[in-house]
Amino acid sequence: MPDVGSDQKLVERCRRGDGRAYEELVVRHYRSVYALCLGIMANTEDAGDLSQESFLAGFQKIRALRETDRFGHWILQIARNLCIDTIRKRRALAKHQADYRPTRQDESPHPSIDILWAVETLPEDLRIPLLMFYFDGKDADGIAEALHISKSNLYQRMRSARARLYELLVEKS
Amino acid sequence: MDLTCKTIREFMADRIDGLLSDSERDKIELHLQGCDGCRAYWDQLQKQDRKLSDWASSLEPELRSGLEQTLAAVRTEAGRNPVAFSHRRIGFPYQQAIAAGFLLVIGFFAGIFGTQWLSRENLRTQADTLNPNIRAELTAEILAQVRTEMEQANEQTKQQLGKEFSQKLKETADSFTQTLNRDREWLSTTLTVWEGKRNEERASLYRDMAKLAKITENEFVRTRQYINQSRTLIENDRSSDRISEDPTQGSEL
Repeated sequence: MPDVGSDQKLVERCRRGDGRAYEELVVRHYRSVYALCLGIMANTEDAGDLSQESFLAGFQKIRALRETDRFGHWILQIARNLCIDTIRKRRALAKHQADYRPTRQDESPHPSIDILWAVETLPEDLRIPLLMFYFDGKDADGIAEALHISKSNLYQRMRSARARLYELLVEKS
Repeated sequence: MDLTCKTIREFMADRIDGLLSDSERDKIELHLQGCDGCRAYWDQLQKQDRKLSDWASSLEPELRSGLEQTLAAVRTEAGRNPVAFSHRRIGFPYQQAIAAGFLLVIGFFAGIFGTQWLSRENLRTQADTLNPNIRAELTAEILAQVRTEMEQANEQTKQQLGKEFSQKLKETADSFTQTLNRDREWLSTTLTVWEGKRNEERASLYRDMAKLAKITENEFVRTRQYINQSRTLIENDRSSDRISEDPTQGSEL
């Protein structure tokens, strides 16, 4: 039996036409979605655009959500797939445009001492949990569930991410 | 760096993440007192942590702005493509809208199945009390909603059952929509009667509606059986190329 303010209740209200219920879902999950998009895309502009796109797609497909108590997981899945599609399109475009530059790393004046550059340089499987940790309230349980990994795996990735940042920022500078 | 340093440095990351007990923290402190390399590593780790936290904090205004823009975009989308009719947009009480919507759906199926209990001519002669603008808006809202649901059902089915069957469903949906358009005037008239009839006349209308609901229910049961049979047949024929239930487009990199 869902409580009044649960995601499940909000999804059900949304399906009955209560637009405010979906707005509440956006408020609740925006930070997680943004953090995931930032983790994958590694730049804030794309993260904002794709977060918005994800919630619009979620709104249009809300009736296709079967497990209504798992809206958070579902909207993150949509965001992840939108990010991946965007990267694919850009890679395809890059094949035809020799002057293509995918991220902001070339704009950084001092990349070797720039934490943002270092974060961008991390492999995706380390960058995503690290950024979700800092941008989504450091909730290890929620992040592990969203990424389909165990908590111990999450912490192992955090260790590796911190070690790689150290290498990038200190040992190679 | 020996094994102890390596282990200690992993502990340091866990300390940043708030995982260590007091005794484990004490072990790290003891090691740091005698190891300059790990002390430097620990200082750098803390610096990284502060920078990442500062970065996250610096993006708070951007996050808030992005949230506001997303909410505005969702409101706009809700206006164009309502999940269901909303009392806020229609402008009169929610319960009344639900009741009227129910009547319209029942009335629609009454028209579809050719039931004679409600006379169109009789209903039309009594249609004179409801504000035409509200009537038109509500009718358009419900028709839009039905069309949206049909499209969504079709999209879902396309993912699950394949293109050929989906095309047939789409043709059915198109036909359904055409029927809805033909019955637009009749639906509006039914709503008008709902607004205009006196209470005792409504009681009679309710009884008729109950009969119509039973007929409609039977039709739904038959339709459901038909769809289930079709689905079973197709799933038996299909190979393993099944698409995930998640209504998303992308896949793994």
